[in-house]
Amino acid sequence: MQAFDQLVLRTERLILRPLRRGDEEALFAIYSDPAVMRYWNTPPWSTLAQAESSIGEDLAALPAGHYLRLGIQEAEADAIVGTCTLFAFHEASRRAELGYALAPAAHGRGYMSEALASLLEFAFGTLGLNRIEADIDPGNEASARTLARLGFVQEGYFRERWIVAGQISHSAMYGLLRADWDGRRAKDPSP
Amino acid sequence: MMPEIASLPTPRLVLRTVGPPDLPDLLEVNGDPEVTRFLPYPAWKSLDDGAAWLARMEALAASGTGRQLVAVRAGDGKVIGTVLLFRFDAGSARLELGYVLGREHWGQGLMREALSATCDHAFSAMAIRRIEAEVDPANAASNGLLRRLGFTLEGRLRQRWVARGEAYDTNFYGCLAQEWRRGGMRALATERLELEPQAATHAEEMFRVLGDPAIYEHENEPPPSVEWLRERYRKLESRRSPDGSEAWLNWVLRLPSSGLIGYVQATVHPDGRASIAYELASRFWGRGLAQEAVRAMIAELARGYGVSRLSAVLKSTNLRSRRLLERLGFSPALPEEHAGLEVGSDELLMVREA
Repeated sequence: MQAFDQLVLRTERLILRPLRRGDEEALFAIYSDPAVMRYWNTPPWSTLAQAESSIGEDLAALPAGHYLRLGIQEAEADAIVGTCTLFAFHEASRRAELGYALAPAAHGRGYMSEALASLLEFAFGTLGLNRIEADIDPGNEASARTLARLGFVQEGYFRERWIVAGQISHSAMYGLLRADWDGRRAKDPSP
Repeated sequence: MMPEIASLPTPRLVLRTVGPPDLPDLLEVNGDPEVTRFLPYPAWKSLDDGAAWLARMEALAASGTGRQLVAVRAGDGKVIGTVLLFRFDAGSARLELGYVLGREHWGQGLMREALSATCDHAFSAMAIRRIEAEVDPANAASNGLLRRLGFTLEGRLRQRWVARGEAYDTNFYGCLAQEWRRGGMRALATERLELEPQAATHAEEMFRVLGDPAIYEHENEPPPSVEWLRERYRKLESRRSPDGSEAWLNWVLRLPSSGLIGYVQATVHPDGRASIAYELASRFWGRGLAQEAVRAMIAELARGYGVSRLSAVLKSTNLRSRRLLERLGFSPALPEEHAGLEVGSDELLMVREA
C-alpha cells in the first residue's frame, strides 16, 4: 500500500485529512460519546490518553499504508467532527473494510455521506480497489441508511459475532463493488 | 494470545501443530491444483513454496491470532491435510476455520472427523462461542461438509476474493457454541407436531411409547429397559457414527396434547445420501402425523445437511409404511441403486431426490 500521511480529500463542505497532534480533545469527544459508541466494537473511551495513543498509532501506520483513517472537519473549522477509515486491506483481492464515526452535533446534514463518497472515490479510483465492505450493528439504522445511500448492499447477517463489554451483538454485512460504484457515477456524476 | 493446541486425536487421525518435517507430505497435498483450486494461494511447485507458506503460518502463530494444524493419518503418520484456526478474537470468543485435504482422501469423512474434533476443542477447551468459515459457492463438497457439521449459511459476499485474475464470491458460515452442543440439530415444528432433537432425558417417556407391540408387527423389538434406552440415547447425543463419518440424527415427536408419540431418524452419509426411518405409536396412526413429521425432517435434511438423495428400507409386507413413503414421493429403487446398501430378500428399498 502507498503512504497515506500526506493525503487530503476535499468535498464541497468538508476536508478529510490525517489526524495530528492537537486533535486529541476533539477525537476524545467523539470516541467517548456513548451515543457514537453504542454500536462500536469497543466500549466508549474513558481517558484522553486513549486519544493520544490512537493518534500515535495513526502517525506510525499511515506512512506505511497499513490503514487509512482520516479526520473529518468542516472546511471553515479546525476541529474534527468525525473520522472515516479504510482498514483490513487485502491487496491481492483489492478489498478493504470501511468504518466511520460522527459527533452527534454534526448529524443530520449529510456530512458522513459526503465524506464517504469522497473516500470511496479515492478507494475505487486512486487505490484501484474492487470491493469495500462494512460490518455494522443491525440495529444501527442511521448507519444502514448511509450505506444504502452510497449503494452498499446487505449481503449477510452474522449471528452473535461481537461481545463488547459483556453485550453480545450481531453483524449486518454490507458490500459495495467497484462496478456498482462506477455505474452510479455514470448515472449521477455529482453524488 | 491464542492458546497452544497440543494434539487432538480422532478415530482415524491426529491433529497437531505443523512443523518443517511435514513439508514433503504437504507438497503432495498442496501441489495438486485440484486441491488448491478454491484456496487463496496457487498450487505449490516445490518445497520452497512450502517453506514460504510455513513462514507465513509461523508468523501467524507468533502474532497470537492463529494456529496451523496438520491432519496426520493414525496408522502410518502420513500428513494428509491441514486445519487452520485463524482470526482468533479473544474478546468476542470467535475464530475462523480453514481446511485442506489431499485429493486421494476425499469422500471418506476424514475432514468431517478432523473438523469435528477441532470444533469440539474450540467450543470446550478454548471456550470459543462462534466459529466462522468461508467457502467458494462452487465448492459443493466443502459447503455440504459445513452444513452437515451444523454450520449455518449466513451470507454470500460478492467478489470477496481475487485469485488468478478472477473475482470470486464467498459463502460465509457461522456455528455457535450452543448449536454445536446440540450436534447442530435444530428443533423443528410442523402444523401439529414438535420435533425435538432426541436426548437421554427423553428415554423414560420414549420407553413407554416404544413398548407398543403394534409397531413391531413387521420387524425389530422393544427396548429391554429404560436404562438401556437412556444409555443408547446418551451415545446418540454425539449425533455421529463412531467413526465420525456419518451424521446420526434423531428427533422425537411431541404432540402437544399427548406428549411424545414417536420418532424420526436419518443417517446422513458423506456423499449427501441419507437413509431415513420412523416409528409412531399405533394409537396415532391414520391421521397423517408420521407423514407430517417425515416431511419436516426431509426439508431439514435438504436445508441443513446438504442431503440430495433419500432412501428407506422396509419389509415388503409393511404396506402401511409403503403407502406413507409413496405419499411422500418415494418409489421403489432400481436394481443398480441397491449397491452398497443392505437390503434383504424380504425387504424393499424406496428412494427419492431430496
